[in-house]
Amino acid sequence: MIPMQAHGGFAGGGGADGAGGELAARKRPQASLDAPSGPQGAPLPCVAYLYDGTAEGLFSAIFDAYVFHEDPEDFFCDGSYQPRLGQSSRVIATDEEKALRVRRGLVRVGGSKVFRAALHASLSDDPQAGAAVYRFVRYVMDDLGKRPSSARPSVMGQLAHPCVAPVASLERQVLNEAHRMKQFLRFRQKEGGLWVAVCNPNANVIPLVMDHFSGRFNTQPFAIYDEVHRVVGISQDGRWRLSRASAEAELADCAAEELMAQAWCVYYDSASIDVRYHPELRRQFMPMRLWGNITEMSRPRAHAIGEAAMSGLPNAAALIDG
Amino acid sequence: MGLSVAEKLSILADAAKYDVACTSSGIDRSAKRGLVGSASQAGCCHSFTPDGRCITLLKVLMTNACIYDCAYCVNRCSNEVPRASFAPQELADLTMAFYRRNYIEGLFLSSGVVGNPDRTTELMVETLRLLREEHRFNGYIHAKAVPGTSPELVERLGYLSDRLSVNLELPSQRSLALLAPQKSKQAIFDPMAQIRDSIAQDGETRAIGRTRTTYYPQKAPARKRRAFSPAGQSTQMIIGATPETDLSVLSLSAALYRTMGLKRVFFSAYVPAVQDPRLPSGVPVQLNREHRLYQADWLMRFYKFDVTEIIDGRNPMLDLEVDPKANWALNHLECFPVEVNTAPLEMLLRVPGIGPKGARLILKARRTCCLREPELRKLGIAFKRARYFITCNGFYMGAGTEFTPQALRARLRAPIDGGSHGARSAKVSAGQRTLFEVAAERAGAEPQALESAPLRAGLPEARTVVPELTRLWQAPVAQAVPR
Ligand code: SF4
Repeated sequence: MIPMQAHGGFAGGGGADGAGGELAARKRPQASLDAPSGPQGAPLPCVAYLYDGTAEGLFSAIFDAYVFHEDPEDFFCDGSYQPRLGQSSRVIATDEEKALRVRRGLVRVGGSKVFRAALHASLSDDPQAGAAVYRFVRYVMDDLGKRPSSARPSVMGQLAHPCVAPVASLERQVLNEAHRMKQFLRFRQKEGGLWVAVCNPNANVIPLVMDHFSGRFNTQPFAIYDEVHRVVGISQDGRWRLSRASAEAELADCAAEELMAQAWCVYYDSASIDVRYHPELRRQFMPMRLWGNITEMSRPRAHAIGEAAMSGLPNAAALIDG
Repeated sequence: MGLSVAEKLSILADAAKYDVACTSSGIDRSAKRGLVGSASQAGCCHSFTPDGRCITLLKVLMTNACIYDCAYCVNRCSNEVPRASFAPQELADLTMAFYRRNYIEGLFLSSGVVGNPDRTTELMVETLRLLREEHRFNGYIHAKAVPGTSPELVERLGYLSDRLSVNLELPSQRSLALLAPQKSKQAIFDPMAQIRDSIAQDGETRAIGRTRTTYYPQKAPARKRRAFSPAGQSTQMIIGATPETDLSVLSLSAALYRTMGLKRVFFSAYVPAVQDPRLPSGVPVQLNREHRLYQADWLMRFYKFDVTEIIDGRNPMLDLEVDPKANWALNHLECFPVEVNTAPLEMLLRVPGIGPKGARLILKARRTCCLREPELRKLGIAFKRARYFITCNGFYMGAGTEFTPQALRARLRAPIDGGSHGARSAKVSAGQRTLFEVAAERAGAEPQALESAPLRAGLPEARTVVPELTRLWQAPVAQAVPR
């Protein structure tokens, strides 16, 4: 248990924060009703927080740790929870306001880079990600937050610090995965003009790629469905939003889709130079786990077209007019 | 005479694949309302071929019917291959369809010469115009300027594309005369110089447009014009088809960077695709040499090395055993070891195993703490290599190995195992022996496929490695350095 003043680092900053203390105080009895064990109002010594798996949920949980004066050992998504021996748990309700308060605190102490690191790390699928982000926030708010701003070292520069290192490496993983999605997402045009991409990233990165695609495709309406995290990003007219989805909507491909996919496979096949064949190198750049959703890697080969073109045709210089 | 789009694509992509330059980098252009597409400085690879090279652009020829007869080229007029050509509308539509599916980052358009260079370029200009104006395409376009095109057409091409390139083809004028008799040094350097001047001029007008010279409110130009080839120009040359040494190749590319303001010079290991008495045959594909050349190129562009430091007349070929940077270090042991906690940036950059990124991280990190082995490893330094050349806080890290060129050379020997040689550019393949074993296996496994694809002809002979032949070719050659 760590000693701390009420509502530690998150007071101050924005104007609305003055009421924060009271708000938390008022909420406390009600909130602890959710907690299945532990005496009313008293901090639980050995507790895991369960949140809904979103970044907002995690930040709400971190905020609540300050409200309850607790130092949770674990942060888990609701579904994946397996209590340790003697551990109690709290189910945290996601509250955007609280998440925003955490953001304000982090930005005030460490700048937006620090907040973004925490945010990106929280998107990771790693079961330890929640706890790592919590430790990171604690370090930034409780340790650095107490020093005058001139005496604060740059947070993300301390790559060797035990609270910073895990978050930094999680962030790197998540950003890498987001980049892979930018590379390997494949859209299909559906009947009615909607473009749909299905993907299976190893982190919840859809929010990180929506800006990119939405800017790029502009007025073209599209949806990106993440079949692992069951999240869908929908963009229309250059504006996008996220929502939860249970399954991919069954829309038929439009007529030209098959043709284009085939043409792409033809292109892919003919771009290869056989004397340079090096599949290990390809696997290193294009992980096999993603192949199922990459058009040219998942389809049975339409070799026929390429081969026909190579062998069956006469020396067709005559085909070119002029 | 209907070839389907897929058939044309198959022919024209196949014909274009030996062009190694395939990057979408060099320009940041954010999305604009109403336009489709964007471009990013670092580029983005959308797929990887079975040989591990990145596919980022739709790389095709406008047509592979060519009136020229360059000896090394599959499209030469005397070669018996199926011919096809895209109509501008067809190619523009195809590019958009691929772009919208996130298959590609843009278009890389090149062409064989139909009729004459001007007519060829007109077709290319028309394609790009359709893309930019009708499809409102804002993504990346790389276009090849055909040597011999009139300046007006090169001008129009430049305003439609992001990067222009004129292929140098071969590293010397003599080789050019031998293998590509219809092209001349002048026909290649003229458009290159024109592109360089247009880029500079365009940059200046834009700068003037941005500075306010009067107190009157400035009127924005009625219609904003696209910039002239904003991602600069590049070129490529074929390595290993002619007897030039690495020395002359690298001196030439250094001169090009200096005088033509090129962004990149690409090297392409000669792949035997056609039979010709003027070409070397039975020589292995010089992938390892290509790899070393890229490493040397990298040193010149990012490590502030001068050509003369990398290579000199005494050893006109790069060492295939150790990379050029390690080679320099071994030849200059008097400069080492350096103290990582105090050495200046230029010296850190010279340490094998420390890259530009690592060097900058070291500068940053050593302000707050003393760097030792664990810290260096955390910063992502290749400590295994760097240790022989550094001290940490006064302690030499490479103890146990004699500090002599021979002993260190044994430690640093690095077989080329398909590492990267250029952020996103052509990646090399594994060592040659295994490569040909693979090729032989494949040849045995699918003999029919081998016959039906004329490009793979010559593969079986390639199994017999005749190194003498390479040496035979290495007569001194006049160095072509542009004016
Ligand atoms: S001009 Fe180009 S396409 Fe034509 S033969 Fe020469 S290299 Fe090949």
